[in-house]
Amino acid sequence: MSQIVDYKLADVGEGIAEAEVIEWLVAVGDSVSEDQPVIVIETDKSQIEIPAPVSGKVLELCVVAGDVLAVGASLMKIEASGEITNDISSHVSHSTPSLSSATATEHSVADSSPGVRATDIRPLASPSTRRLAATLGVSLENVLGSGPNGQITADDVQAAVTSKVDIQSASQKVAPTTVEPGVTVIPLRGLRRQIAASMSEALTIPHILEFKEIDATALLALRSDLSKDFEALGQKLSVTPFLMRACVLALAKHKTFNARFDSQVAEIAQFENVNLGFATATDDGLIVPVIQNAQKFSIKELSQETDNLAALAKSRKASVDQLSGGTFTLTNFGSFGTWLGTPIIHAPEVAIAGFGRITEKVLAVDGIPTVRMVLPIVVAADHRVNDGAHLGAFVSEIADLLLRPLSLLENK
Amino acid sequence: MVVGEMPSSVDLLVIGGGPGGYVAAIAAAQLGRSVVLVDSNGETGLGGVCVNVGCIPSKALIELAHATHSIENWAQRGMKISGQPSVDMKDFQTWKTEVVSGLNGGVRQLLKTAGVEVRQGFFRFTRKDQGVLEFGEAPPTHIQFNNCIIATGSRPTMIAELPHDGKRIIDSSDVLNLDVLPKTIAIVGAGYIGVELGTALAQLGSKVFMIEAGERILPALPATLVAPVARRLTEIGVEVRTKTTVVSDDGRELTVTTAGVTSQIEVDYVVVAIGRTPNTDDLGLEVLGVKPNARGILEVGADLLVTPKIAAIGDITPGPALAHKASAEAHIAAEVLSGHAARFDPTAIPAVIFSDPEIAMTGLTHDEATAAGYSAQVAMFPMAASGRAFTLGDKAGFVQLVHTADGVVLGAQIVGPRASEFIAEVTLAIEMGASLQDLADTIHPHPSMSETLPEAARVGMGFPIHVSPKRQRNNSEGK
Repeated sequence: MSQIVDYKLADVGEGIAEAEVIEWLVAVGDSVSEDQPVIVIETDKSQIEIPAPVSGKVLELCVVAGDVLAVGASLMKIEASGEITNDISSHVSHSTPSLSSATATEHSVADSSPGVRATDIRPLASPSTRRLAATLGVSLENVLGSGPNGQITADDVQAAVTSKVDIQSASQKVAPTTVEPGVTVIPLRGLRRQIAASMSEALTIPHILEFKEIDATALLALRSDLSKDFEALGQKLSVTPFLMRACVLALAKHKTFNARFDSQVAEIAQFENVNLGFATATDDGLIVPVIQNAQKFSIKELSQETDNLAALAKSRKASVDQLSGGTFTLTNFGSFGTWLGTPIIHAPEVAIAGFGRITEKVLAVDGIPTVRMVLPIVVAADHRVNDGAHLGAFVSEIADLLLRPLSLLENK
Repeated sequence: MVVGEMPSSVDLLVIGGGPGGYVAAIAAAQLGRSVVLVDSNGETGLGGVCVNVGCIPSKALIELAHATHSIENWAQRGMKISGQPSVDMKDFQTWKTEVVSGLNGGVRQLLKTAGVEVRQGFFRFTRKDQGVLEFGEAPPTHIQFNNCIIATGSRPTMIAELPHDGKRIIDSSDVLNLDVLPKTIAIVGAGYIGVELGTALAQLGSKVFMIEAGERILPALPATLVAPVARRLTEIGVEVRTKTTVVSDDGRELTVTTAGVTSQIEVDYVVVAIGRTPNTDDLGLEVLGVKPNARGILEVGADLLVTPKIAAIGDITPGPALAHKASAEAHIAAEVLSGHAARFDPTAIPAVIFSDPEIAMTGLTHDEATAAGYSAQVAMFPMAASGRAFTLGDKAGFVQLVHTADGVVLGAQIVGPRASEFIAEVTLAIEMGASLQDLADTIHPHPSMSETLPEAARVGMGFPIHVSPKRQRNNSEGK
């Protein structure tokens, strides 16, 4: 007996409510086998190939390239050649592992669940509501309960579905169009759309900024010493891992900057481990890969992990795990050739460090004008969580560490 | 494939006719599936260990024991009997067989009505979608299936020092078939099965020795729940030996060692009740590419799938080895394999122990709730303050509710008469996210043991009626 499978987009991971169709790998009438990739989608985190759930014949493709889909949206219809057994939502390829949230000392706060109190270990919901959620493909962890004690009701689950469908139906034109000569309209889609949303969110954060110029001569000398070992391995050692290490060590003393702020429940989650994000420019836009437990990494390991994650991010192959759970972010303005910039906090984190371009400057050293290598740094912090005095101490700590770069090599 | 091995084709195959398997078969049939159920005992095995040699016959024995034993108590409350009550185990076996065959026949009828075909034999996978059914001398038959639900259950775990002979060294199932009351009997293992059997046999008049390697009886349970049961066991003459392990048995005496000191116990029977072993060893699971863990359990997730086409339920999956857990999984497995997005995701699984007094639990204990990250609190109400417990002549035990600071009910532990009959209410409360206030404001019938639940809820809120309150109620609360 043959069955027609309505293949739906499954939940692909933390906080991803929508995905953009990049391309179909099959056409109507094609025969597909189970687990054969059929469609490429792009979430705000990465590009994912989704495999066929069953073997059979493609009857219908329900979406076209450029469509923005909500979780639960129909992708395609397949006439199965065998019996249908498995769940009929899309499975996600193994390169996208399921998510683990940031390691928190008290409790982890999933950034995708702003309305769920962190103390709600298991969402309150009756068996019939759980069943409804399973049927509709809604993850209860992401639903804000309206009932007593935050209990999730059937209406809450239905509302969660409706909001996703709204996003889908809002998708119209996707390709750039020319409405009048000289004007090109580019719909906001995929990564750009995500960046726009998170930057708008960042606008609600009251930023304070502290700047400092640091004599980086010793730092550069140390880097050049260590570079030899790297060159032997055919690798390059940049200043970035030193800056990362300085941030990690400074955060160990100034834990209020290694945190996430949840305005919905008015809670600050402060973390023992540093999940260090680093802003990476890609062809599609800004992506922030995250080095999990960065405090465990040496300079050398930070260098290798940074190269590895940056390459994955640039090819849009990084998994959701590798792009989420950050507790602090670092951005390097120097690589753009500019002196320095004003970084924007990556919500729900509470601080971000920016490093500028190292240039020769004349400094007074022991009263004598001397040419030194100078590194400008800046830290932006969420003023709701930290005050200027805290920020000054934190920036000074980073500066001190960079002035005495051997301290960066010590094991904690 | 060898000629003559042409397999018969089955839409959905269920392996095992216990409370997991038969429920799965009926549920799948209701979903429009064509179902064949295989069981090594054929139709006589329907209902599984539970109906035939487990829960049901043991409860029959326990009821007989309880009734016989309680006559002594009622004799002091007005009951007049001449002579000593005695028990004829042959007559008991006749009645027990009626009970068991009644239920077994009922299951058979339900499966028939649902259109489920029952075949006898041991099933073993030979391919991912095929296996062979073997029974005695009959030629093996090959079965190809679209979907399969493995519900093979478990068997009593035996120990090398005590090889099962079915006569002197027996398992929990054999005990229930005895047609004479043992004069003396040793029960090795004081888990819930050992405690239930030991209590019943002692109440019937056997001299019972209970041998437990752990520090106390029911070692898996919180100590506070066990204390009333341990006291009652001593009262009825059960000799409990904890921190004791079996060395050997010579057919007359059981040799045990306690903290390095060896001793002999002369008994007629030795029951091995140290636990249950999942039946996952002879299924040919290797051809499916799945491997049970070290304890023989198939590690399944909420979809219960071991392969995209095969689900596993019951004692062979993680979680408590209880009939009602298997039945609950059965519904989910049938739905998942029929394309529904169902998940086995209970908030609470109740457990009952037919000890004296009974113990019933659901949801989280205080320790479990704390470990899970809740700032949990416990509200306790003693049975000694229950009017119904007075009239039952049994005031041992208590009700304990585990709840959050907001009053959301997370768990309950009940020790006392009829605990097994009202633990379900708390399970429902937990599943529905009910609070102490919900329990307190729900009107309970008087007099009943269930009244202890709203009382315990009020203890948690600070304003109980039938025990002393912790504090003064603030009149301005206006609630």
